[in-house]
This record gives sequence, structure tokens and C-alpha cells, in this order.
Amino acid sequence: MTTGVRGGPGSAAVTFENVSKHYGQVKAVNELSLEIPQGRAVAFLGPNGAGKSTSIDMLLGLRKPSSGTIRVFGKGPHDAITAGHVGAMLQSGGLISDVTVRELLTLMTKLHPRPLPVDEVLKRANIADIAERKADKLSGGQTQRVRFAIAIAGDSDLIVLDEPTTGMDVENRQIFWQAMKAQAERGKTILFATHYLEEADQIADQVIVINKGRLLANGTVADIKAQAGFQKISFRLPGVTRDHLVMLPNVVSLEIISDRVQIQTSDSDKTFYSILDAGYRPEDIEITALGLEQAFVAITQQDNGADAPAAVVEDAR
Amino acid sequence: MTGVIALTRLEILRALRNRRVMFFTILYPTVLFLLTAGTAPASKMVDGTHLSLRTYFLIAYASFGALGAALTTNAQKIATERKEGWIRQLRLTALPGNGYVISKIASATLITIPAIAIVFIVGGSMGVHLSAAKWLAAFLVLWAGALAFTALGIAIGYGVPQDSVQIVTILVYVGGSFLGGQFFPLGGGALENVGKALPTYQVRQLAQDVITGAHVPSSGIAILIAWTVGASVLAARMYRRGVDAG
Repeated sequence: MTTGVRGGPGSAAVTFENVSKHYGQVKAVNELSLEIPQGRAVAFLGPNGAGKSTSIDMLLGLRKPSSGTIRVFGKGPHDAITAGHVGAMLQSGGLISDVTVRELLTLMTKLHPRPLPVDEVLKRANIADIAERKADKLSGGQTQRVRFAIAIAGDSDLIVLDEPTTGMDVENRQIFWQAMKAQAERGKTILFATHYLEEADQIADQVIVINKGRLLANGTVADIKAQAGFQKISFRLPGVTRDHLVMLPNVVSLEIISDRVQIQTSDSDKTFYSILDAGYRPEDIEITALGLEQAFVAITQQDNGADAPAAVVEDAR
Repeated sequence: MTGVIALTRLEILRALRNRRVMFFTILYPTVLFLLTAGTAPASKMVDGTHLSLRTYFLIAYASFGALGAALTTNAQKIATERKEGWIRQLRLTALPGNGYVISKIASATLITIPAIAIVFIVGGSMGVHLSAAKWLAAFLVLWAGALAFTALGIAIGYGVPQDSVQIVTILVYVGGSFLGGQFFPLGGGALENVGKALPTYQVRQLAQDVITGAHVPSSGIAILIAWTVGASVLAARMYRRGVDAG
């Protein structure tokens, strides 16, 4: 995949260097440094108010950082956009009235230094069937797909999507991610913010988690899960009660439903061996990593203060 | 530049398809002109002048159409498109930073042409006789004068909160026309003195003076230019503010 390489091979698609954005006293983004290599699909996660949208706005040159530097393919954000490196789909927004989808996309291709044929854009975004419809008379899911089409109207190297599937039904969402995967296979770098963590889990090569405007985690999905440090042990053990298991080492939470036990642990090996050492012989054993969603909740809670995970432990006992 | 042209072309297409725009630009001024000028006897003069009432209304309603075309469309569209995030979306393209505003100015300037022409054509068919040079001169004055309204429309679209844009636009549109003598000759007095400060009055008066061959007062031109420049500066400032706010 060399189609997406700009600014020399190996150079990053996006670099944030000590980027901060203040609104009065509020630090929406605080000394954020990160790097996104070319050709990756990157999920950008964080709770509401974590600074995701502000970071994306700065990346796209819509807002200026209070301090720090952002480079996009080695250029400033605005220059990168003017050069056609970046296609973006913003979080919200309607489409203009009195134009068809095709006319709107024709315009967008003309506003790109490296335009794609309109029919190709329609095909890639899966909206050929609504090309002749009026752009402001579409359903929510269709509107989102047209907005995605706007983001890919040119042969951009980086595609930025701010919560692209908000308001889409399941079917639309699947169609959408298919279209996105196809973009990734063309060697594009994709950065998407989302609230749907299963999407990030399935699609992202790299996950960036921010909280309170700071970088919290940056790695593969497996890295994030490992950083959360939790695994899940699940087994069947007839006749067991809470009192038997709650003193096991490294247990974070414990749940027993009839004879089915579910344990969240920060060290599945230790916890499991001590179950055996205590003389129990559980059946139907499953040891799994947490889902990305649970990992995400765990690391943001850890970051929000030591009291948050402690409360979980207390709850378990 | 091709981007700005493509956007302008689409803006004109959108305006031509929009019933609201067609109403304010073509239908409303023409119907009002027919109702007023059509019912006035051909020989009736504006009090104290040698100008026929029909010719007066011809100029008045052509300038009214130009006002509607230049002001109402842009004010509404810009406010809506700001709210909907369209302007932000355009900022994520290679379109030059002022490309959006340029396209709005260009499309308003072009849409003003039929707004003036339709009243001229209807007026001509009703027996208003002018030399070709006077038709052309009046047209050019009204057309160029409409720049003040275009700038005002942009300033309102960017500067007024979205939910107040409609009412402010209607106030400027109707109020400006009322005091500008678009609906009836002001006939001297306090009303006319107030009206003289407004671009609606001065555009109409200037076009009328060109037709009658009356002396064109430089104060009138100065007022019109002041409005055009003032509204443009305001529009530019509001536009910058809109840009910073995202």
C-alpha cells in the first residue's frame, strides 16, 4: 500500500505535540501529544467532554490550539486541507436545500484538488440509489451516508469522521462500516471518534483514549485491554457462595447467579490458581479478556480518581 | 477559482429552484406593481413633479424587487447554513476562505437582474416610455445600488442569532421599503426626511433622477456609498466572528 503515502514513507499522518486548548479557565485539551502513522484505522475514544471534538476541530484547522503544534502529513492543518490530504465528516449537520445528492457531490468533487468521479463516490458510499433525491429530504441514516460521501469526494489520504454512525440504524451502520473498511483497504488513514465501542473493537488497528483533555492510552485494542488490566473468569460451581470466593486475590468484582460465577480480576492466573488451591474444582471454565467497552470504562474510571475503582471493589465484597 | 465558480453556479441553481426566492424576487414586486401602477390613470403625475405615477412605481418596485432578491435570500440562507454546519463543511475543502461569501455575493448580484428586468418589462408593456439609454441607466443604478442590500443581507445572516433572522430581515425589508418610498411617494415632510437616510430611498431616488434628468445630489450618492461600505465592513466583521466561533 503506497497509494496513501505523502510527505515521504514512514512520516506520520497526524502529529500532536503538546497541544492545549483553553476556553477561559477550562482546559478542553491539555498537553496532548500523539502520533498516527499512515494507513491505520484509528479509533478516537473518550467520555463526553473529554476533548474529542475540540481535538478533531483543531486537527481540521477549525479551531486554533492555545499552544502546541499539530502537523498533518508534515503540514499545518489548514494547508493539509487545501492540499487535499484530508476529507472529513463532522459530527452534526444537515445538507443544503434545493440540490440533489448528485449535484451536491459534484460540487464537493470540484472543491477537491484530486477529485474522484461522482459515480465512483456514489458507489463507494453506497448511495447510488438516492443520487437524484433532494439532499435535505433524506432519512437520518441516508443523510449520514451522504455526509460520508462528502468526506470521500476526493482522493484524500486521511479521512476524519466525528461520530459517523450516530443516528444510524443497525443496517445503515453495517453498510457504512463496509464502505469504511474499503477505504482502509485502499491504504487510507482513518481516524474516527465513536461512542459505539464495539465498532472500535472490530475496526480499529489503533485506539487512542483521552480523558479530561489528556492522553490516557494509545495502542492496539489488545494493548488497551491489557492496560485496563482486567480479565474475566467465568465458571460453574454448584453450592458456592460469595463468602467462599470474595477473599481470593486480585478480584475486582464478583457475581454469582445460581451456580454460575463471574469474576473480574486484575490477574486471572493468580485468581484462578487460588481457586484451585482452595480445593474447588470449577466446571465450564472460560477466561477471557474484557471487551473494549469494559476496558475503556475501567481505565477512564481509574483516571477519574482512585476512589472510583475502589468503589467497585467494595461493591463486590 | 474553479471552486468558487462551481459553488456560485450551484447557488444560482438553488435560488432559481427555491419558491421563496422566486416569490420575493419575481412574483411579489410584480404583483404589487400591477396593483398600484395598474390602477393609477396613465396621465396621473406624482404631486409636484413631472413624473408619471406609473414611472414612479416602475422604479420603486424594480428597486423593491432588487431589495428582496439581494437581502432576503442571503440573510436566511447564511443563517441556516451556519446552523446546519454547511459553512464548517466548506471550510474542510480547498475552497478559499472567502469563497462562500463571494459565491453568495455573486449569486445575489445575478438574481437581482431578473428582479429588476421583470418590473421593467411589465412597466414597458403598460405604456411607460423611456429611451433605451434611460432604461439602461436606470437598470445599472438599481443593479449597482443593490450591492448595499446584498451586504446588509450577509451582515444579518452572520450577525443576527438564527431564530431572529427572519424577523430582522422582514423588518429591514418592509421598513426600508416603506421609508424608502417603494410603496408610495413620500411627498415631503418628516417621513421623507427619515427616508433620505436610507439606501432604499437613495437607490430609488437616484434611478428616478437619472430618468427625469434631474440634478443628482452628491449627498444622495454619498449616503448610498456609505451604506454599501458600512454594511460591507459589518458583513466582513460578522463573517470573521462566525469563522472564529466555528
